Amino acid sequence: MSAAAATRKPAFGVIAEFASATTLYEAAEKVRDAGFKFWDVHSPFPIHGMNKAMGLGKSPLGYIIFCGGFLGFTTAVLLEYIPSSFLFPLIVHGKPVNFFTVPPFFPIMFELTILISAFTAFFGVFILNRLPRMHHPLFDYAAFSRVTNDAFFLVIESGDPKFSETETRGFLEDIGGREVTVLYAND
Amino acid sequence: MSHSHLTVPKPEIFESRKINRVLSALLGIGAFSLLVTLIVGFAAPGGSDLRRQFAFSWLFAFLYFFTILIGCFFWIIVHHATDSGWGIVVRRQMENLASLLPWMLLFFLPLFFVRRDIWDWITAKDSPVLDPHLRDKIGYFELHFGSLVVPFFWIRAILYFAFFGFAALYFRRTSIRQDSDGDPKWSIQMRGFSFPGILLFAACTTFIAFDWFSSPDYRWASTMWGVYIFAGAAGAGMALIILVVIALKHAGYLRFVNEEHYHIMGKLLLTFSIFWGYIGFSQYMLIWYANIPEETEWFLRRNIESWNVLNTFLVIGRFFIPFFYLLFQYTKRNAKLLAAISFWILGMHILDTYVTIMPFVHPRGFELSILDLLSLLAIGCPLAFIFVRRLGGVSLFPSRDPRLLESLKLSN
Repeated sequence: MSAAAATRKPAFGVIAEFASATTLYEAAEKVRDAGFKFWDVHSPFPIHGMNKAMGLGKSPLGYIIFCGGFLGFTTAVLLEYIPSSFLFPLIVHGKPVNFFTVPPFFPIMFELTILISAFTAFFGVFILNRLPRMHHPLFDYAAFSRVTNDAFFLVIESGDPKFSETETRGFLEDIGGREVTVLYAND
Repeated sequence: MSHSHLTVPKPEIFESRKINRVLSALLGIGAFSLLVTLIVGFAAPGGSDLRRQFAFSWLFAFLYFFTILIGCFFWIIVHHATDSGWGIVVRRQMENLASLLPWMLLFFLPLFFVRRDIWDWITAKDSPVLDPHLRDKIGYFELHFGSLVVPFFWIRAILYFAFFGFAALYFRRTSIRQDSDGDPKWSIQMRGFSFPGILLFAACTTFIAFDWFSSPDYRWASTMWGVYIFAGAAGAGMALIILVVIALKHAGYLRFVNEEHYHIMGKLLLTFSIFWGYIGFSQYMLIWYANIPEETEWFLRRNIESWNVLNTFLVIGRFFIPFFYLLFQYTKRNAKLLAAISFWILGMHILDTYVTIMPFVHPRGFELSILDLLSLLAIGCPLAFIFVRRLGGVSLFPSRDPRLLESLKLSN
């Protein structure tokens, strides 16, 4: 890293603090209407309706989980029918070994559907959120540690096409942000 | 929070004068069907095919409406017990529907007079050699204390009507009282009563399932049966609540009910479709696997000849179709699509009741009878008439409930 770049690291984004969940909610609506794309809000607790205020679309997670569930279901069907109808058909209790032996198979189909879709949901959330992640530029900002206690933050990232250090800073001050600070990436 | 401009709406009163013609049509059709059905049924000699057809058609129609109404009642007590805020705006409709339950006593009376054609333990208990199955269960129908015989079966029937009648009227009356004084103590009192209400509801529903649904064949027993009837009832009750709310909104009332409320009701409808399938299958699989004749007989009877077609269709129609249909957010939030599936589920509930009751009288496959339809009309039309009249008296939503605002600005 050259000396010039070390003194002037690229900006990560602009952070602003808000007094309450209500002001954060209203600020989010204004940032959404201003047309920003790469930004986020941070609060100590989930705020009802925030996804609408932020203009977030529907998460694709539901469709991914559906595929996972379908995969689990198909696995169970094949796992049960291939051995017990074709490879090793055993007649137990005089029960059929063809398609109509389905009742005892249902619990396994059900369980595998649930299991694989739960796994898909769990890992899907990780992947969609780009987790696990060891560090984040926001953690360098000392005041941010209060976000799990009593502080409400809004961050607009520098990756946003409408981002500019001075204008975004002024915009956040206009919509009621306090302690507006430009954060720099640390690596 | 973005709805900080939201104000509490004024109470709305339903104007039933506008649909007087519908009301008189309901009354006319209802009275005609009631008269024809009862005359045909009671003119037929006891034990004849026609009398048995009437008895089971009436039982089928009675149980169809009765289970839907106890489903509506279930949603009131769950609403209070969980102290939930989302459904305040639709709660009055649950109360209006559940308050029809006392009237069901009137429609139960014909069943008492044709009891010998429905419940075969009544004739079997007098035979000189008692069936061993009945000998073990006779205390369930009649209690013997020396020479004193207590008709436990009929005492239970009175207890069901007493519980459902008083509880449904209590919740409606208290909710209406709150409309005038807005005192939060009524909410707290109703919550307090809802907890014992849930226990009594569970006990009554389970025993109703045994008494009225399955004891026409006293040999059969299944501990899942009460839950199965409950699962179908709660789903059908929610479907009817959805239809009433959407109809009222369509008629220009309850304008503040929006897709968020539909979404929650759709989710509950989906939940209870899954629950119905889960319980129905669990019961079926255990009996299929154990293969004990007195248990399998119930399902054998319902899976021979054309009954098999109806039962297979029921599994697809009551579980698979609503499941895949309601899985998507779009269908739950759209009033027209949600109303369509609610109609479908009420239709499937007819089929569910039909394939439970009718194989008793037509063991060789299903035979539609005009008495089935007339019985449905004879009970359904008067109930609809009473319901519409009941809508008119009071506000269409609990206008001074302390949590009304919370319900208005609902978001999922």
